Amino acid sequence: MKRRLFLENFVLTSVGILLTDFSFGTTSLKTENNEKLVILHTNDTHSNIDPFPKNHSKYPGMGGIAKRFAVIQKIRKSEPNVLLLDSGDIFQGTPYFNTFNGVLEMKCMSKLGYDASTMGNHDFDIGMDGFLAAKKYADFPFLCANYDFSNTILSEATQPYKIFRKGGLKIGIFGIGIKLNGLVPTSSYGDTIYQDPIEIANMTAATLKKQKCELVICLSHLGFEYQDATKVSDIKLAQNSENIDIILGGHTHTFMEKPAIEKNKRRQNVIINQVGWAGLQLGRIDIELSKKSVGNQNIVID
Amino acid sequence: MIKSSRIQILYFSIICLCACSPKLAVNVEQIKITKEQLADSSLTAFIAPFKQEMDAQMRLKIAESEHDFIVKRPSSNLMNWMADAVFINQTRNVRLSHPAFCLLNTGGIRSSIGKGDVLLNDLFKVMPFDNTIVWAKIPITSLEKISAYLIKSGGEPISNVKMKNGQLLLSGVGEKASVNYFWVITSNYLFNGGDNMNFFQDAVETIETKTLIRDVLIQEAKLQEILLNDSKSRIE
Repeated sequence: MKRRLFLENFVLTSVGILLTDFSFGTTSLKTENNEKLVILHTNDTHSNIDPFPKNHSKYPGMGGIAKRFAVIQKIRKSEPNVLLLDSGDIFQGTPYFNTFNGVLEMKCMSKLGYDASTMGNHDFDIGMDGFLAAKKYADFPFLCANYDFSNTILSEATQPYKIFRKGGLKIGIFGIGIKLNGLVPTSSYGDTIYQDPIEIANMTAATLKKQKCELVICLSHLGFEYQDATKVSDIKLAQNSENIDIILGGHTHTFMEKPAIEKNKRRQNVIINQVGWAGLQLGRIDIELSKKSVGNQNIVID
Repeated sequence: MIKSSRIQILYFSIICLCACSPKLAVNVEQIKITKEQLADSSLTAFIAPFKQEMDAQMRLKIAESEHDFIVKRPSSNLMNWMADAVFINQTRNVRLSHPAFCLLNTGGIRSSIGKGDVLLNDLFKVMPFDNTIVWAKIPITSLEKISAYLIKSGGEPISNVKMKNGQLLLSGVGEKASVNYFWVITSNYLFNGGDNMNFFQDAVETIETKTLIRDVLIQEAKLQEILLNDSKSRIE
């Protein structure tokens, strides 16, 4: 059934993707050397605990974290290797945040079993001390590679990357944040040093490849794309990257019908996906990886 | 679009080639969390006491709305309502020595307001930030920077000023009157460089009211009882 869907939809929606090889009849079969990984992801959930109200003009009754949990649990029942990730802006957007200062968001995400998140600009909204106080209730790590928090109270609170092991695979995940100046009052981010996102992303991804990760994922809060050509975005990051396979984005609240595919510096494809905001969607990326595919060249999508 | 049980799924499939190994498959879905999707009851139960505590504070009826109030550039009824509420509240008992208008930011309006009862909850969702109101006195020579900003951004909430053919027209100013300064009533976030409204650096005088924008919205909504609906575009 699942297989049929795969094929049908392949035919339905793959228009525009140049395929050089149709031999996927054998590719999605699980072999000893292949392992399937399911990546589930959200971004910009913005304190949306409840579904939208039934009289909402755009999203009546949609979303809601308890409904998201039910969807995730169903997937976990049939898939052994699941990663659940978030690309930041957990805070701000409903009175839950004003009432409980982000504690409920952290508690719920822990119950959902999030594996990792990165920080968005709104996660600074109650200051670094506010974030730290709420983070006490998070049992998943915050990955921030390009915010240098050494001189702040967050110096111990985040880490640049984490390597996850799922079904014999090593998956390297790191986080990249947006420039805070102009978005967040200076008093809220204090002595945080903002480091160049592309430079740090490439450095971190190279480290993860060296540690023999079969897959490298960047949790980005840079935003998908901007009219202003000087502004760094996920598209730019992908184009100027090496060693990143997947960018899970946020910030621009972009609803994507399908992921974007960009060529990196080595003309390899990078997948960029983002699922709007408010927990209205859950991104799901099923990927079959060869355990032997270790090296500095990983996935190329033709 | 495919319907799979209760979940609507957009499928996207691609074939991957691994440089030195067999071909691999990638399949991407954007799973919509629909109205019909059932919730996990244990998490709903966990959230319930939080919801109760919040609702006790938030489900207070403030006013009513006969329309959907939405955000849409260049100008929409919710953008107009919010800028008007701030402008009217701030100038109600003030004798202005210079022209004045209100300028907020479209990105700062975080929700729409549906037709029906307007609860405290709704106004918190529209304005969740604890931003305060700032008055900034700006030389007339900087007015064009604001026009240019509005053209580039595509529209921000404004009150007591109109934009025609790319020019901002101040209210209450005759053609021959010489104006050297004007006041902009805005938020501390924008005044401090948020959304790159850099023209606020030209301010020669500022008044920090410490009044929360949200408190003003609540106060004005209570006064209006039925939210005043003005959907006429102010930016042309």
